[in-house]
Amino acid sequence: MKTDSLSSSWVSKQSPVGLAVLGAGFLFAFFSENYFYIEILMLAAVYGIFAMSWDILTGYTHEVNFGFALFVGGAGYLSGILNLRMGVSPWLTIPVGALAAGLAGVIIGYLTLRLKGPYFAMVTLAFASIVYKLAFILYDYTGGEEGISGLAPLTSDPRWDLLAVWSATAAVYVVLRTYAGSKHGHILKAIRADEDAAQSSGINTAYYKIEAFALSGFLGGIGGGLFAHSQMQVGPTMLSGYISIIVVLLAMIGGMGTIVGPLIGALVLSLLNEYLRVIEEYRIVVYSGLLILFIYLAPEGFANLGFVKKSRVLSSLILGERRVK
Amino acid sequence: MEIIILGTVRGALYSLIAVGFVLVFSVGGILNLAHGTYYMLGAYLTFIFYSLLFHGGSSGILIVSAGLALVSVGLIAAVVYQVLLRPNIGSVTYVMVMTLALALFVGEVMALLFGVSGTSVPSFIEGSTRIGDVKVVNQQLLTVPIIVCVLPALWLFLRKTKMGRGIEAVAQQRVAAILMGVDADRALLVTYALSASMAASAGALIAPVSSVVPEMWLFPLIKAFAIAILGGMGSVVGAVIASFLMGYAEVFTSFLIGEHLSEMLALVVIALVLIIKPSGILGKMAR
Repeated sequence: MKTDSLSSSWVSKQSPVGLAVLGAGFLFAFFSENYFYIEILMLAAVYGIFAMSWDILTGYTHEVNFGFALFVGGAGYLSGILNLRMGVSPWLTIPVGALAAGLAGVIIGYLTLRLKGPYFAMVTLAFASIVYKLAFILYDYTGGEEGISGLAPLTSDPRWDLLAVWSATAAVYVVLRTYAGSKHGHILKAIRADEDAAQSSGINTAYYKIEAFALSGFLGGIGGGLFAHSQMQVGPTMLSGYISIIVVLLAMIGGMGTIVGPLIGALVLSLLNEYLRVIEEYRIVVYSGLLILFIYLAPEGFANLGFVKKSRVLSSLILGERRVK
Repeated sequence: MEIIILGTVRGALYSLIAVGFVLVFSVGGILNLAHGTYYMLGAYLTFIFYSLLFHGGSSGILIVSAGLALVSVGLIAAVVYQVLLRPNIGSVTYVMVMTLALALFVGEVMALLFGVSGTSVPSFIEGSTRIGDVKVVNQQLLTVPIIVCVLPALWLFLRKTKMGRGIEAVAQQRVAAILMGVDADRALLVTYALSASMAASAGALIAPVSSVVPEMWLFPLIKAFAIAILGGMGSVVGAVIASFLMGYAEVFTSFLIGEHLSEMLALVVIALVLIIKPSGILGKMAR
């Protein structure tokens, strides 16, 4: 359809549900006065950023990155240290941290190019664990077990914080949807289907995989920096396997390879997690039990369930896929 | 001398953990990230049976509890495999995510039930032995005779029984084995339960000398993976060799540099081997 102008084809690829959720978040950020909910939504939005950034690599190439905490925690620590030790403003430290995470993505992507399946998954886990251990060994810089606290907040008002975090979430969403809908996204899908065939069609698959890794790392790093500054502290938990596993679970339950699925999955499940605080003692047990149940019931994720894909209305509402008759 | 003895003890423990992990991978092509959890359950169930069911007693009762723990872990693993893993066993991603989520879940349940500070059980045999000028705690030394019994038993099982030969056949050529009438599904079920029991036996053995805490699943998982990678995924012999190499190398580094760096050794080994020679010492590259 060459007659379509660029903007209308861009709009037609959007997911109404995804945009509606983002819009609702903005409305909430503008009008809500309840600081408790603001904090909760901010955390959920950060997890949304994580899940979406994870999805651009794993959802589109099906190589599972089990070490996402490396990007999150690495960028978080870097921007935290820059902020606290050198007094740099969060607005500069977050991009610097994200760039470093993107660079880490390029390096790890380069090193793991030949690996597939379980090998890939475990080497990413190993890299993340090495950095996790380093956080304890480099005690002088990272504060060891306790981490570093007293970071500058994003803004002076939590409502503006939420607005900033939510804008970042929306920006990440738009960037990733656009990237996934572009030639690059299609090439990633081709690599997922058959890497050898893609290669023999003259596609430099290595380049595109590293590019996706870098993008995933960069955007995850933005999330990590925002996380650090909105919590005003960085601790080893940000680098731990817990973050990696939760990000994988949130994105998988939402529906890999859709961007909108991980976003909504992360938002809904993080809110559910906060809601479970009424049974604080059992919260993590119940929460992780529920995550197992969801994965069991819908291994492909809710956005990829059969009836969503088959129904024209649902697939266009949720996934933004218009089908021509 | 010290390095050789301590390294052997460590290597024996590692091979008890890693062999099962490698066996499951070679038979099912799945990465069982809940392997460390079975190790942890072995330790916890020994404690539960010994302290809560029998209310303590002689070391005979302790050994009975450990035996019960092994059997129950095997049963738990069989149920996990049948209910949670089997429906989607073809998807490597699903199995990895599910087993890792399970590991997280069980860790949290144990933290809820027994607290994060952990528990402990008394030693099977008290005291320590001097070998040359090195003093080794008897409980740790116990892993060596046990591995000397377990490995040949496993070898006999795999080579001499019908079930074991079926498992071997599935590991070599899955389709051909099915065509020859091997129940590949049951072979994997048995392997999975067996490997969980072996991990649990390592956990039960280590319970008296290290504290039983909810996070104890991560360390053996990383070690098992490093060993599996070093020895070549899917090669049981490679795993045994790699276990002892790893044991010696770790003891050596901790003497040379320091304990916390020896913990990183496993991770560095994973990264390096995968990048330089992904097939490991004795493995075939699976694609």
